[in-house]
Amino acid sequence: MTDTLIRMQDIEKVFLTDEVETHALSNIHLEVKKGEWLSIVGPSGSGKTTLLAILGLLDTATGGEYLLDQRPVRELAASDRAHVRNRHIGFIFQSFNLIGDLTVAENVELPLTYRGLPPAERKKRVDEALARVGMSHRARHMPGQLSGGQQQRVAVARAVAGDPLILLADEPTGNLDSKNGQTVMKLLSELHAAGSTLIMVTHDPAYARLATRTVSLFDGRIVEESGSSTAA
Amino acid sequence: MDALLRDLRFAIRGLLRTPGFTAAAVLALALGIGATTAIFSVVHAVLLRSLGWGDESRLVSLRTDFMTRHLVGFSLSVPEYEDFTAAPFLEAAGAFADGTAALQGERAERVRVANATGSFFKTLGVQPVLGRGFAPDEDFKGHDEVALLDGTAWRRRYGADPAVVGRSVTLDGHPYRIVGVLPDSFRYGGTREFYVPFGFTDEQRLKQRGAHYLEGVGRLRAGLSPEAAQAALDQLSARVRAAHPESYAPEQGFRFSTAPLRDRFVGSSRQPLWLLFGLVLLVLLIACGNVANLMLARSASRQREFALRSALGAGRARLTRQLLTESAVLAVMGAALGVLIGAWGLDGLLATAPRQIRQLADIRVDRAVLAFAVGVTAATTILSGLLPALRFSRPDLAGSLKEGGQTTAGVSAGRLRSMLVVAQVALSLVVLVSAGLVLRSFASLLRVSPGFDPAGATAARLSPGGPAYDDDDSARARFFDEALRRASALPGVEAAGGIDRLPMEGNYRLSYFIEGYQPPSGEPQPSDAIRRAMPGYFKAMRQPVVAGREFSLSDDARAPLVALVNQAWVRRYSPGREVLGHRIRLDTKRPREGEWRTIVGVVGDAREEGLDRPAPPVYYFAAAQSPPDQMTLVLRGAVSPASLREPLAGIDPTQPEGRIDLLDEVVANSLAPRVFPLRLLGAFAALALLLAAVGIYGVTSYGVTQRTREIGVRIAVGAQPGDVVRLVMGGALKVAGLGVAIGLASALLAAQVLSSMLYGVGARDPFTYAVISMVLAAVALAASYLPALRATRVDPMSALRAD
Repeated sequence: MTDTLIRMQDIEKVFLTDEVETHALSNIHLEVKKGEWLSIVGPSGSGKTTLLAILGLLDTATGGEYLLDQRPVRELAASDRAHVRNRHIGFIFQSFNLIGDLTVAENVELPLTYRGLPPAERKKRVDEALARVGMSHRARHMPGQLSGGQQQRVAVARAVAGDPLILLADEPTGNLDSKNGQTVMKLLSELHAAGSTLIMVTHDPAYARLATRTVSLFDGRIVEESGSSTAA
Repeated sequence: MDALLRDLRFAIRGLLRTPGFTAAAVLALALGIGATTAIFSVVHAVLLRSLGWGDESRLVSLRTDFMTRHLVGFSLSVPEYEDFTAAPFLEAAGAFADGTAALQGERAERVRVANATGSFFKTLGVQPVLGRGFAPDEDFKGHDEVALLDGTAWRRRYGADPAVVGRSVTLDGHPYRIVGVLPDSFRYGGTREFYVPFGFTDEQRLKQRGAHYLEGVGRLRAGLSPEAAQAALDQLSARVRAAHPESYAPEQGFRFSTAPLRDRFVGSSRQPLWLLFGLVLLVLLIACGNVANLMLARSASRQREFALRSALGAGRARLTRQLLTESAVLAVMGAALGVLIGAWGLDGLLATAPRQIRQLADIRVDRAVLAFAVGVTAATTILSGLLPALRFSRPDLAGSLKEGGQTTAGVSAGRLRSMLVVAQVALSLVVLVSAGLVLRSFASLLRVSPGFDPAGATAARLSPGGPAYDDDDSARARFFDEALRRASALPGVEAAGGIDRLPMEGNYRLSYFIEGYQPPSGEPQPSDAIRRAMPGYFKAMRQPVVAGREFSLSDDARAPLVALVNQAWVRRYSPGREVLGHRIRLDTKRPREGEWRTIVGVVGDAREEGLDRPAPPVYYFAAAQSPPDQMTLVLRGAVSPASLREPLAGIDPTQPEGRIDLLDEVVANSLAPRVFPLRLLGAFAALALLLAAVGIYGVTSYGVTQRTREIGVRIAVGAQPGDVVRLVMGGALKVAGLGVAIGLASALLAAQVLSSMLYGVGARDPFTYAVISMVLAAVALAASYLPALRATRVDPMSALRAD
């Protein structure tokens, strides 16, 4: 029995465009333990988002091995990958990505719907998730009626509602002003303190320092690692 | 002007830059405008265009009504025609009767010839282009050997030779001198090669009030109000009834009447034509919906451009004009192609049109039709361009000029497009239900038995004419007997017989008496369809003899007079009682014709007036005992029309060949007026369905493109391909479902107009409505399948990339 949640060995991602090979990621070795908060930093084009997409099974590596909760994901079919994303991964996007036609509660409920949970269970989890992010009072509002900070809190609620193994956040404060950014980061800190495993891509060194460990990417390679891989 | 030209240049440049969009929009408009133009060409020629004979409001058909016999709009006898000519409320009156005659030359030929009085042409204001018209005295026997030549026949037959006037022509064995040539443009519900006088006799003028065969036409005096005309008509009717009580017994309900002359040509075509025109306008609306949808999509992708223009100072009116100019350019291109399609489609349309419509008028794409097309183009410009123009002429400057947004969809343009598709589906359903009801009605008709077996039999027409036959019953009888003998001897003939008029080829009624039968009080003596049949006819038709016998060779001119009746006759006049042995006689003083005839048999009912009409009472005389003017031989068995020609032509080389048809063609011809609207409705329905499918596909596909990020998010949070397919197709189904719901309500109202065209199916037939709704739902699913499939392939990375 081990507490390693993610293990990446020699991960490589190559894009082929017009017969030109672009190495987005090379020789990535990474382990993330349960309860850990990892931040990934690096300049634009360094491969942060590509790494996050591979970690979240939104994209596949062209080489290397990736074990998620000790299971290899390389050979998973698209529907199995969707299944894993739905049950084990929660996403927080920079642009929130709430669905404009759905209410706040419906947005939070969406992954639970795809999981096939019964309505009563879904409602319970939605209520709990919204309560955790302090958005219960806005459950029936449409996303367009919320501020950016509120939308991101709803996005966090959507990510945690399914009780995933791991939360992936891509520049979660990128579209927010500093006050709202701090609020969201406080929320993520609380989640981490409560035991959630977080991997966060960020530009902001101040926010990166909140994580227990930081890896720096440059030209698709990990060039620096700081902090210890211990859980919170 | 300069700004308009700039808009035009920009619009053309923009449309050329997006050839796929332009082609799709122009094609949709061209199909809609083409179909509308073709139908309008017919509507205009048949219902709207001037008849070309002066003030149409004064031109009327002159008719007789026998109300208690339910004979309304009946023809005139010679004395009745002369009553009209003397009536002061008419400025002019003429008479006409259609027919054919044998044109004797090197080879006898049957041609269309009409009888007309000289005043007929004067009433219509038609002057010969060469020679003269008929003089008043040429209406009468002894002065009537003159003919007018139709302009088209003059060119075709005589090479437009001006010396044709004065030449002689032999019609039905009688010589006629051509005295004039009528204009090419003259057609009176069709063209005839020759017009000859009636040659009225004194007996006809004085004694034959009951012989109705003239078609009267009159021109009302100028300034006469409809009320005054009706009063004068009532006065004339009362005076004639009083003067001739022996001809107009009160129980006949006789009166003179008039009707607009156009009704004579349009007849029952008016309602189907307006209906078709209404439905084709719906198809055009659907096409406009498609173009509006395409323009909305295109405009949506140009929001930044509009925002930029607006930021640079373009006002709302300026942007609206720009968008409407683009719409106008599309409409003009669509109209140009549409008129070409319409003109081309019109030929096909007329090829399937019933004779009544084909012969009525010179149907073509003329100036009026082109003016209509211009009007349609203007309407199309507004219908398809206004919505996008209003929607996008007020751009959101702040939102449009910056990249990205915080949520995944802007919904208002999408809703607008969806509402357009809802409207398209609703309109399509109206067209489809109309087509479906007419199709079901036609299928019901095809299931109706005509009362005989039309398959495997041939019908050959015989009309011996000329001095040798006209007044010699026995000569005609010999001709028919010989024809039947020769035809029967052909190899392959299993049964042969003849009748003067086949079922479904018109009725001829005569008054008669039934021995021991007293009509109910106030009703006249019976007047039913009479047929003269030769031995073997019912066997050849496979029309059953249900009691007694059919005519035999022994029922000749010297034998006791016999008759047959059909089952409808028995039900009407002798229900539940024996009819064999009862007697009937014609209401005539002619020696042999007016004698009692014994009913020797009862035959099964045939659908005499068409498959959609119940079988009327019919009585049959033996042809040998009452020789008719014409005869149709019916031959059952493997006989080709070609093998019949030679033996029939050899009987009398002076007589032209008659028409030879397969018997099932006779039934098919009776259905022709129903086939025409059915084919058109089918074409409209297919077009409407195609346009609706394209609309649904377009909206769904566009929706998928617009929602790429949303779909990416859904996939990222765990949506399976099935979830995505359900999302996309479910959306299309919702749109289609709303359209179907609205369409059902509209179709229920619209179908009431169809009621009179239906047979065996109600205007609210639930089966048709259910099937059409399901078809539209299936089309919506099919049209949304490809976009749904595309949606499942959305890369969930798009959720991140948007960042």
